[in-house]
Amino acid sequence: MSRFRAILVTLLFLLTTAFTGCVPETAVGAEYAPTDDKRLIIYTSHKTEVYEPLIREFEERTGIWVEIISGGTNELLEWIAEEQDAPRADLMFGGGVENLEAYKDCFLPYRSPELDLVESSFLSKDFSWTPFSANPIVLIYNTKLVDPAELTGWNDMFRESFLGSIAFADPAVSGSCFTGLATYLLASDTDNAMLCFANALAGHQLEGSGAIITNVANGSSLIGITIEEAALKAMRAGNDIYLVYPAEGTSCVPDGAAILQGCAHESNAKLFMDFIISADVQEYLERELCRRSVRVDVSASPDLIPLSQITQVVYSIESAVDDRDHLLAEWSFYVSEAKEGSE
Amino acid sequence: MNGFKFRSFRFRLIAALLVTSLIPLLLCSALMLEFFRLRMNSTASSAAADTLVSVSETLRDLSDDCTSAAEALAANPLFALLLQDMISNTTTVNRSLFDATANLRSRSDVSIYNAEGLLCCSTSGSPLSAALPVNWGVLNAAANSDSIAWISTNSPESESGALLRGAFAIRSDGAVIGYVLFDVTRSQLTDLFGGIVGTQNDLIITDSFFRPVYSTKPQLAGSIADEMRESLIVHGSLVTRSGDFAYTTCKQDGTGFVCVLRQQILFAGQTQRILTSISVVSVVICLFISLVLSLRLSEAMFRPIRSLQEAIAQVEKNDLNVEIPAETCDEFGRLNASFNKMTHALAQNQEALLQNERELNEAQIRMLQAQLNPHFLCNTLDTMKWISKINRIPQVAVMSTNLADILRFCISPEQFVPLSRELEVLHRYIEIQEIRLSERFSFLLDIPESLYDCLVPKMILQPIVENSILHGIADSPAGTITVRASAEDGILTLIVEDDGPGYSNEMLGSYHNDPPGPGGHHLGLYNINTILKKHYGNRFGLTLRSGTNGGAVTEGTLPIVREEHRQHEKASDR
Repeated sequence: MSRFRAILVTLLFLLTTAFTGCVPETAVGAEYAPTDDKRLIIYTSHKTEVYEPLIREFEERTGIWVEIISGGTNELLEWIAEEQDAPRADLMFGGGVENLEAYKDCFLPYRSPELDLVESSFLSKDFSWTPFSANPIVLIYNTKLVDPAELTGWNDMFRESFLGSIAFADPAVSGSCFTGLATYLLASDTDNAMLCFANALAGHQLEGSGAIITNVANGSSLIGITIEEAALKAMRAGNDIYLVYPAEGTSCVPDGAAILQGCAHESNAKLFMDFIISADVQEYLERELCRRSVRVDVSASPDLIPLSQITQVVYSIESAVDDRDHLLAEWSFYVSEAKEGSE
Repeated sequence: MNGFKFRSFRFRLIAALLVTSLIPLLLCSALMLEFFRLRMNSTASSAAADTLVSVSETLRDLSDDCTSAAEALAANPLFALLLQDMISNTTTVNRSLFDATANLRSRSDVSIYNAEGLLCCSTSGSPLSAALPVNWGVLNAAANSDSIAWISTNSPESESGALLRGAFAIRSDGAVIGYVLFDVTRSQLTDLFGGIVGTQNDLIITDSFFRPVYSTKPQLAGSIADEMRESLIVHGSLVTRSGDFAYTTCKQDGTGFVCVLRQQILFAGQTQRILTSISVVSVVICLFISLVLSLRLSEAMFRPIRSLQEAIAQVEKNDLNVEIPAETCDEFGRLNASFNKMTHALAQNQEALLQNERELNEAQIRMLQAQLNPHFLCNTLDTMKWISKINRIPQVAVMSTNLADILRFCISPEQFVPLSRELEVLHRYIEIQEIRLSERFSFLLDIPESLYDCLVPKMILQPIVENSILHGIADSPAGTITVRASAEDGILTLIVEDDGPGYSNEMLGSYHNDPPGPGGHHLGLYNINTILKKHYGNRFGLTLRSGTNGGAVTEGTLPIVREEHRQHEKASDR
């Protein structure tokens, strides 16, 4: 009986294996996969049309596989702060350097040899971040509705005709608008500069900086405050806008990149840093992406007037970071007052 | 209990049938399915490998042809002059270009750019970019390589733009003086690979970072390339199976491009489901048939066993008349026939035994009676009677006559006689004894006439009387023997009383029917008691008592059977 049972059990076992055909699949194609030293993980807040060609070129040149995780600047910086002990990514690419400065404890200071040819005013004091492209704040106006002579600088914003027709986003949300506000305050010699501006806006602020270009282009707003790159792109696309560098002076706060402290692929991150401020990439920026290079040896594209010809205010990034909360609180107060006043 | 035991046998039967039918079926179908699946898969994968080898070779040939064309152009001094701006783009230049690239133009557009990245001449009919950056993209890659450098440009879905772009740097004295550019569009790639790949498979080409370049179905390129890239980054391995498709991958080392072939798996999804459902249906049918067959088989077996069980139960109750009808000629039929024969034989046996016993009883009785019936004595006594009559000796004549009567009575065949007859014979005996004992005793008879026709066993009184004479009268000068009869409740009691010494105490009560000891003491009483008991049962028999004057009283009881009854019984027996 026990022998019969043994035979039965063997038969059943054969049956089950025949049915399931349990042969585990071995890993195929391991030779195609990147080794760990050929990988780089990047958090980016840049748009696809900005980062993709750079990533592709970097991959071609170095053979390093780059993985991109995109998100908003503040969102990514918060993740970085949370993941400080075990960073998921290696590099933060994008975001105004004021934002990067606020989180500089998360970053690994790196002094790239290429930085020798970068405009010194753009550099970080302790090299915790590296500048990528320079973004002057500009004023834009609708060419169909506004004469060029009407808008030359900050003070022209307070013209009667422009009251309530200024496209500007909440500086608490938009990094570029925060820089814009800070720049304006530095450039303006008016008393109660903030109050005047808030009144000029009549308390209206847009949801995001992306809407500024659209509103001015379609005429819902007459003028707007934005960064040079966005204005140039819109102009190149054929929109009815034109940019003006404020006569009183404007800031040129770059956006940048930073290596995360304790990241897994530090050497690759450094290579990427060298790459993005190399002459090839900086020229590509100006030629294809309407962005202003931070290098001194890169000849600006014909669309960009040289930096030396732009009146600049002394914009201290550190103080901007320190005063940020105070500034924003004050601003929201004035805006709400102006809003009440206008209703 | 019996039913339950059999129920489990029925289940064993069902299980056995199931196993015999199901296991081969399952094994067979499983093995067959597996075999087909493996065969199909191996055929498919070898076909895929072959296809990819062709694709890879096609790419390599393209690259090689481009390289040789580029080298030819580089070697041609005309183009060196063109690049150095010494001549302009004339028809001569174009003709040379077209000649050099004659075998290539169907597969790729050829252009020449100078060292600053400006377009000099081209075979392409559609407008190309007039300038390309030298420090970026393909021209940069070409400048850093001494062979042709390939990159992908444009999205795989692009209709007009080039999907593949190769560049070869033309050098003079080590410095780059220009570039030869090769643009391959989607339609050119489709022409290139269309025949090799076939309509059922899809080809996807990616670069070595698994960024999509080209696909026979443009919308596939992005999704599959991403899937592969994801799998490589996360798992470190390629995707070989996804959904209903199998993927085979191969790298073309020269160009650095990766070719992925997507095949439909034949033995997957719906086909597998259909085959599995067929197997399941077969198994269910098998189950059903096994069940039905086993039930019918067990029923066929159970019925005859059940009837046999019932018959045996009846036999246990001592009814041997039971008979099982033999319906079939198989083992059960034969079993039933044997059982019938057995019970019949048993019944006959029992009958024979009973008969034997009856005959034995009768023989015993007859033997007992025959002890008193020697035949020749009768004749001798008759002779003695006649001689004594002739010789005028009356006492001898009387004795011998009486003895002859007695003897004749004993020889006579009937076992039972009426009491009257018995008394006659008893008289004869008494007369003999009177002559012997010369009137030392007297004999009294006290029997009512109503009892005369009661049937008694033959010679029942004589031994008792003799016993009384022997023991009661023998030693005394005179004695009286009284014979009485009475009837009560259908029982006839015959009493013989004497006034002799009587029975000893230990003999009183019912007669102890121990066989007589040596010397034949009390043989007569023993015989009478035996006869009574054997005939009428143990209720009847002799009882010994003491008389009122200390004499012996011998009582014999038997049921009253009148002569007419007996005749009636005899008539009905016949």
